[in-house]
Amino acid sequence: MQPPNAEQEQRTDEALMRAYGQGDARAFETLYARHKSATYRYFLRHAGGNSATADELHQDLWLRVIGARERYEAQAKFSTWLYTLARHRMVDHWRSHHGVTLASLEDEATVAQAEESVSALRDGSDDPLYATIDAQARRRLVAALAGVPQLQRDAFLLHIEGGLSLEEIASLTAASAETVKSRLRYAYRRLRAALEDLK
Amino acid sequence: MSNHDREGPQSPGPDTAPDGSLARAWQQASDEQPPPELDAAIIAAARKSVQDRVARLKTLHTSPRSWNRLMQWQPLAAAAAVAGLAFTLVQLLPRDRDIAPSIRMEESAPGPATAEDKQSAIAPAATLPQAAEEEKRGTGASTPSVTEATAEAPSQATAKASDTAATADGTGELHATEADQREALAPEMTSPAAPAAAAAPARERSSGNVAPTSAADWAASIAALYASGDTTGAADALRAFRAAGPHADTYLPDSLREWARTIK
Repeated sequence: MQPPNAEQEQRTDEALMRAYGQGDARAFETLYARHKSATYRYFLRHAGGNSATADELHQDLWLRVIGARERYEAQAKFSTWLYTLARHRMVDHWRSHHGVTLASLEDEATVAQAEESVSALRDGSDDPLYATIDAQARRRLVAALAGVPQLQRDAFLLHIEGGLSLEEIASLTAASAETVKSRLRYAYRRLRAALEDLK
Repeated sequence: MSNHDREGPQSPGPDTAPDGSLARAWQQASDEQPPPELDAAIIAAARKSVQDRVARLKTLHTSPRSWNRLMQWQPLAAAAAVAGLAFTLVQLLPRDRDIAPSIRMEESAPGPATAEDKQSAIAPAATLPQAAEEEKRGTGASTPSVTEATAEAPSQATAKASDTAATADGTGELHATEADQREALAPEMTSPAAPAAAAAPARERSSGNVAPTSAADWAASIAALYASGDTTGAADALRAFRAAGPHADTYLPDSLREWARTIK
């Protein structure tokens, strides 16, 4: 992959996608370079760190982007469109691999279960075994996110990895802004709690 | 690395604000990159998609060429279509045998004829059912009596005229003139040869070889047969005519009505 030039770098995501739709392969390379890490991590976190699954989902996503290049219309931000595709792919994955439905993702029991797992993680920090884990703060934090229910984790990843606003996440997930705010609050609180453990 | 994921998303609220420590911790925790081979595969797919598009555009550009090639065949196709149409029209047009004999004879009717022409025209003219039609109209009503009075075969009549002219004495010119006048009457069916000559095709018709084209034609044939003396053939033709149409007798000339009543 050739490094994107300065002119390409200055172009917006939407302009790059349109240019790619008209046959500019370099525009796609710039666009891919901008978003590849975030989309990859979005899948990797949802896949619980399973890189094979993340690779597959990541590739599927970008192949969908490639396939849709001639149909792309800049009616919304490119990143919103991109994460809409990513989330659809993720939901498909959940359904096919775990039989998970969106309704079950909202299940309070699921949330309670996740809270318990986070608490267990926090409680375990007193264990001498976790002394070595403290040194591995990154892994602790990632593990803490793995314990967050899927919808809250999804909102968090769209927010912090995708850079989407509350309104954009609400639109993308077909939820109200208040619901998204609540999910994010939940996720941040848990991660902060995990971070407290690291201190 | 994404330009979105590390610039700090909008704060969803005091509890959800990615404070510095959380953001830093997350950045440290989450810095994975897709494997280079995956990047290469995706970029290759993107380039291939562009190349496919170029190839598709090339195909579109080359399609006018194939269109032109197709257009080269257009004159040939048009010529074939015209030929086919002409053949169909020829098949649909009425053929010569379908044209009524009277029309044919009108077309070939000679103008002022010489004596020799008239002599040779006797036979074809006699084939006309026109004579019978004239009979039907009434002009021919007296014709049989005329022909009976001067009853001789046309060939004999003309031979006699020739002989007369050949043995010309003082009255030779007069005889020749009379012969010419007789011959001149022949095309108008004043000659007794007419019914006899007309009887030939009429016989064919009555035998079913040739079907009359109209009721008048049929009646003329019957009249010609009757005039030629072939009453049996005329009777057969009349029966066939009756079988073909319920009002056959009304088409017969008045002179034949009496005779027709005797035919069952």
